Amino acid sequence: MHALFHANAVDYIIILVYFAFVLGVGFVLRNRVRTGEDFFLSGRSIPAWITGLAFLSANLGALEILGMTASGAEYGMLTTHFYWIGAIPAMLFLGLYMMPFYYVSKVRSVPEFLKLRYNEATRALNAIAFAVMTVLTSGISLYSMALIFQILIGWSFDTSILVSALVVLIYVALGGLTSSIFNEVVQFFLIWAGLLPIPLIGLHSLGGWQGMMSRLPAGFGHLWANLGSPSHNPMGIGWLGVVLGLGFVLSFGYWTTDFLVVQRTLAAKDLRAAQLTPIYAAFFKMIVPILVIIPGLIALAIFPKIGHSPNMSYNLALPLLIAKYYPPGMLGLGLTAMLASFMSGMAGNVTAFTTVWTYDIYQAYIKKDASDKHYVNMGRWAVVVGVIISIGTAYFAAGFPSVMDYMQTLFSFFNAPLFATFLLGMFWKKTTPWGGFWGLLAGIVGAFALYFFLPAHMFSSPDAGNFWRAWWAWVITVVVTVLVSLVTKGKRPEELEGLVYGLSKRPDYSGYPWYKRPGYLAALVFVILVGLNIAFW
Amino acid sequence: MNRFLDLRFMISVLFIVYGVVLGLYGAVADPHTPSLHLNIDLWWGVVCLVFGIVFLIASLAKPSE
Repeated sequence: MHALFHANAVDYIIILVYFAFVLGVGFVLRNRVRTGEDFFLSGRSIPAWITGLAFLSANLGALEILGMTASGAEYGMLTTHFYWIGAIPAMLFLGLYMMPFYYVSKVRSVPEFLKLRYNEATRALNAIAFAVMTVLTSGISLYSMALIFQILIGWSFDTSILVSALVVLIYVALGGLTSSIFNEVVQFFLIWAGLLPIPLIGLHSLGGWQGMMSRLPAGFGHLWANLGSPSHNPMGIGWLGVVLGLGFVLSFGYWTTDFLVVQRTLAAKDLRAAQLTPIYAAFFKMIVPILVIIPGLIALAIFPKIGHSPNMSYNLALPLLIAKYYPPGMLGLGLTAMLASFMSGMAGNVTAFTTVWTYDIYQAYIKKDASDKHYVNMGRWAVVVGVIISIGTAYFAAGFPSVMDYMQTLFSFFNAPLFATFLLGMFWKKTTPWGGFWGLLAGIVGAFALYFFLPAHMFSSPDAGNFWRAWWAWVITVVVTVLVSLVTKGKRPEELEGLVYGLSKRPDYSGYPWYKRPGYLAALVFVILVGLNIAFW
Repeated sequence: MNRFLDLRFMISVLFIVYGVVLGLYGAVADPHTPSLHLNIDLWWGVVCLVFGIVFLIASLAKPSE
């Protein structure tokens, strides 16, 4: 196969510097990891700017960057909904209303919180579902990475997989969550360093924003103007689907209950830092479209045939721009940025898997009373096993690529039922342990059923399908949880202290200046969010 | 607290190295693409270097809290 780029010596030097750097970080951190708290929770000692950037980057994978650029070229500014209404309100809600329960209860994982609020069965259900999902996701992203680097620069599939899996294994096994978080923050800056020249050069050469828009189809610059009816926009969705499906269920389900991101907030040094983590992340999340959506629009303006020609699929939007604008040197930096986001995405999945496996499966059901050192060793072995399973999944994916598409779609709305369980558990004190369990189980089964038994053509587009399936899976969980709660026995109020709204103390930050208070900062984010939505109406 | 100041230091090291490598390559080889008449390696190398130096200064400064 003919590769899209030819990498020079200078590009390889830049890539090798990155590998040396991440391994170096792992070795530096090795000596600082002594206890389970250090390995799995970074000793709960990290300042908010670091956890905030890690919170954001854990989700900013290379697949997402390539996919969202493609989507920007296909649908225009509509894609920005995934970054604004589809993320920011949920992040603010997590910081303001959910963090006090998560952080103050001193849980080490999301399943552990479910055990405190509900019962052992609910925890087991979530722990097992999460462990399976996470390790498969990690394998899928490993597969995609190898595939992309094969197409872009002609690297061998096996070498890409083995080298990057080995590097991730070494640095996570050495430094635990701290390694993972550090690399996510570094990745955040690398992404900007590697990709920011593209929108700058592109917009300059097209004559600015107006110049670009004049070469694009009408409506590509709008967020809401064409959402009155699904038939009026290329994405095939209406405003209600965006608000309920994406803005409410999908986004809250992911950002407030997925342990991959929540784990970063638990590593914060105190409650205020934990609350600020998603709020800081929200500031940065709002500007990510500069790196992904705008290049998508630029690609469409420069290559009008994109998406309608066999050797120019939408997925190549970003690589085509890199090939057009980047000489050797910058090419290396751009490739490093993508490599970094693949690897840190995989590391994030592996650390989350390791924690849930060690605390919520191994310690809970296999070996209860071992020493702290024993669990750290188990965590390190879980990293090895997690990476090996990921490699296995990657090769499985290579054999059955369409199975992976199904799984990714399924996972995308898998968190919707869990969000309902959390919402009822935290804000309705009459929710009973078995209400939570049966509601969650019904929602998960419902999500599967909606996916496999509803014909795809029922929805006007795949996105619309996901939005509505997520919404109905959420409704199923709410209804079943409420019905079962009405006929089963609840927990006593003293057991729920610190876990449920109304039975917990609210944090008081009145002694701090406004720029250190979560409430004020969240309000500022919200005002900016509304302003952006009006500006690009 | 020390090790998290180290992250700023680590980032500064990486960006200073990248700034120097990219800037030097740009200055020596003067690479360009057909569509862009700008020595982007040199200029972006300088940007990375400045960014790295800012983080270096931040890591040497006393923590604010």
